[in-house]
Amino acid sequence: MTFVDTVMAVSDRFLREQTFELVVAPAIADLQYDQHTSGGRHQLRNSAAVVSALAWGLYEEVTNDTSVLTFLMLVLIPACYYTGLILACAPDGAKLFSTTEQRLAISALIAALSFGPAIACYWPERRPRRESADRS
Amino acid sequence: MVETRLPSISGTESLLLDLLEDRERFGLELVERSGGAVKRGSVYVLLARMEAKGFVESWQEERAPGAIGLPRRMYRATAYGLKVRDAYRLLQEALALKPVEAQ
Repeated sequence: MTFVDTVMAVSDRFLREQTFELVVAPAIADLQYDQHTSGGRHQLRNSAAVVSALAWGLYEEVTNDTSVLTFLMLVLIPACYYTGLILACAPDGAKLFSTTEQRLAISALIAALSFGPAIACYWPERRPRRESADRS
Repeated sequence: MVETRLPSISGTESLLLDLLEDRERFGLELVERSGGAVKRGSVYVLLARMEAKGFVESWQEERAPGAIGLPRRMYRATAYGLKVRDAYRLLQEALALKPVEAQ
């Protein structure tokens, strides 16, 4: 799977067609254009631009979508559950949070366990777009 | 009383409208001509927001048969965008006048 394929797959799942067409697709087109005209002289910069465009696109989706509050609630529920579970079941409960490293590690674990399923299951379904051009 | 929301325009948007005033351009052209004011990673977000405000319009380039890759997108300033830019320039000039000069 190429870099462009990966970006397209992520876009298919998380971006609306309009966001993809206006923000991500032009950045991919620049990357491909540069590859074919100058042999990828600015490959790294163009790839970074595509990633940046994708990140901006995701940000736009999150901030413009009214269902974000529902999404955040769905993240908060497992976050509370796992925090409570760790505090209650782990030996020496609250001592797990005694150092900064431990707090960061546990927070990252809780975030992954909370955001992962919510992103995978809840994120509104995006209509598959037409294949507008060769992706390679 | 009905409130009307005035359009807002940033310095970068104003610069992009300057670059698009005389002719249509690709996103990368705008990055190159902006002298570092606009970055590759953010140019399309800016342009998408400007399009949503009605300041620019865009379309996909005409493809030659057998062309590889996604078509690039071309941008052009709208009359409305230029009007808003000019209005803000006038406002800035008016507000920049010192009280003595304004009398």
